[in-house]
Amino acid sequence: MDNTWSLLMDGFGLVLQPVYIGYAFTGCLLGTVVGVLPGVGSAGALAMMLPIIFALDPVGAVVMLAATYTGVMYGGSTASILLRVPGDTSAVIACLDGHEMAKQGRAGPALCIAAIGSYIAGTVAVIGLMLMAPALAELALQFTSPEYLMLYVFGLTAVAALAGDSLLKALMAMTFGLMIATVGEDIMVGVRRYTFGFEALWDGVQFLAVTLGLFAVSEVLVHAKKLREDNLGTVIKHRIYIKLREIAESLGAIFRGGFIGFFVGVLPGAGAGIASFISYSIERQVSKTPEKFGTGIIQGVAGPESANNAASAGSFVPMLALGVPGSATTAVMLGAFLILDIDAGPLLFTERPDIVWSLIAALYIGNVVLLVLNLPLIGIFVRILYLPMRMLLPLIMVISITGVYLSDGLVWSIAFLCLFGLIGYYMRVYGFPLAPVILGKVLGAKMELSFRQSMILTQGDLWLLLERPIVITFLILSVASLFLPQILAKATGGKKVVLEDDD
Amino acid sequence: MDAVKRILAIFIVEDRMLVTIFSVLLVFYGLETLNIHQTVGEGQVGPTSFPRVITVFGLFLAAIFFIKKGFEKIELENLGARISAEIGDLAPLWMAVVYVALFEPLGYITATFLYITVTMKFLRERTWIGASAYGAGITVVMFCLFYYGLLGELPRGEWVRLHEWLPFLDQIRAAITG
Repeated sequence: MDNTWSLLMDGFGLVLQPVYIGYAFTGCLLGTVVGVLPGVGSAGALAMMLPIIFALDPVGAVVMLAATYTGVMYGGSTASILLRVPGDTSAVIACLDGHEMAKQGRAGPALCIAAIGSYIAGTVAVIGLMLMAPALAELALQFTSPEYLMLYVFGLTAVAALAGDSLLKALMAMTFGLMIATVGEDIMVGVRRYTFGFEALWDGVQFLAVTLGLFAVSEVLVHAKKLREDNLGTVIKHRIYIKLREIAESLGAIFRGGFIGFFVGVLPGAGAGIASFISYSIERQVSKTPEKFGTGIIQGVAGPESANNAASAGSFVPMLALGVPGSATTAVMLGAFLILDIDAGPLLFTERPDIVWSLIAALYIGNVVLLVLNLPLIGIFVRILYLPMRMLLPLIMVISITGVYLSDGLVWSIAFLCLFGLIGYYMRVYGFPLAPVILGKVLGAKMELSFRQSMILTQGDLWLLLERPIVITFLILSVASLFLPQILAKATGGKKVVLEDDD
Repeated sequence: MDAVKRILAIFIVEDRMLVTIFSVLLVFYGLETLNIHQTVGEGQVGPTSFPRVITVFGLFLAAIFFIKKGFEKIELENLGARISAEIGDLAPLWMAVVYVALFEPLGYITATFLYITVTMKFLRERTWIGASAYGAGITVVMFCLFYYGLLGELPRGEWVRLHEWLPFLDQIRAAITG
């Protein structure tokens, strides 16, 4: 333990030099700006930094990449909260309560709590990374396909938290998401499904087209209709800063999100998106006022935002300890390590402790810089909401369309964006929640892979899975999280759980 | 005639319309599994197994929905009037479709400028001058951000060859990339 602290202090000693702090500020600022734009994502942002890190020494490169990563994660949430334009999976949940808060004139507190939550959870995760990396990496290796299958089933139960006034509609929306996820080349044997000879569908329906169509384009359509009907209401004055009471109310959610995010992040392939969905689901279940989720409750932002930031740090565990990238982003990071002639893996901790501990220190410094840099910028970010709708709506459309086009260079993907915009509009009109579609789309491919591998493993007898303790644990958690809130609400005669995804 | 309308209404009024489309989609989705290339282990772990699970689950949900809704009173509505109203409501989407269609022929700069200008005028900007000034400003910002900042490849235009007429557009990028 003493050795760990002294190594960490060495890491901080290196990273806290003015030049590296300068790199951290630059990376964090670039990451925030790039993160706001849809289609780039954290992996894309880090990939864009690769040409720059050629010119830096290994520690500088690691600091720059870590700071960019934290910046991107925060930037994605900013666009979700202000404009309902989620740039990637982990930012989708911020569209729910975050954007609702913005519509109520509380964009400032929503952005503040996202930054503060990211900072605290990031710190929790860095401590976890520091103390438990090797042990957790071993544990993560015990997760085989049946365990992953049940983890994804547990992830799908987040649908209950996103259910709106009808669990049935949410389940149908989730099923629709799962259907979309099966389009394209089969993940195991490469057979093309539901492509109808259409080349643009070989890689499946682009995630960004689905997400931006459902959220951003449908938002534009709803507001354009109101604008044409002169039904937009008065311009709201936005509060910039957060109250201490709001921070105090969010602390529990932040710490829970931090722990959930870190442990989900450790699992290769699980990712920050799933962490944020699970965190949202759990926050709603532990809340005394679950009916307020989706209407602009601060815990609905604090928990998932903390979880996605902690998951980012958690995903470094398998990369550092085993050399296994747990996400696209850590895969790019691993590529950067190769450029820097660093071999990630079990020997990294002993052979290059300077790099490992610099990275851990840099992740922490990145969180501090994120806070220092972004809190003063919130006033500027919020100003975008004072733009008249007739200016804001075409801007959202152009950002969405360009983001989708840039991510694969296909005009057909923009056509899908429009199609999902139409679907999203009608889903909102008729009270179908949108987020479960994303949940299904995100988890579908991974779930199918685990399902089929589990079927092979058990030769079709899925009951055999119940002999595994981790499977049983997740199964119980899944059933409880899906039905317990409904049963409790009925038993206590409590209010019907309502989450409106639309206006 | 009224009875036929009432039966039809069970499937097309309000949220039922979406569930009906969802059910039809599911049926085709399930049937399409018969056309998917068969592989070893089909029926248990092949590429059709998961879609079939989804189909059964989805149809089960749709059936519960219609059974639940069957007991609710249906108010007949004027479908024709509703459709024509909604076509108008979706005008920004139709404009986006035209934008997408013109994306490659006109090129990013021209298509984006036209799209923003027309959409803004549709959204009740008072003058064409105001709309086109904003359109030009946003187009320049977006182009600089995506083309120079992120070094993305944007459509150059087949009918309007702006990059040939304004060679500095590519010269700036060449200077950035070295």
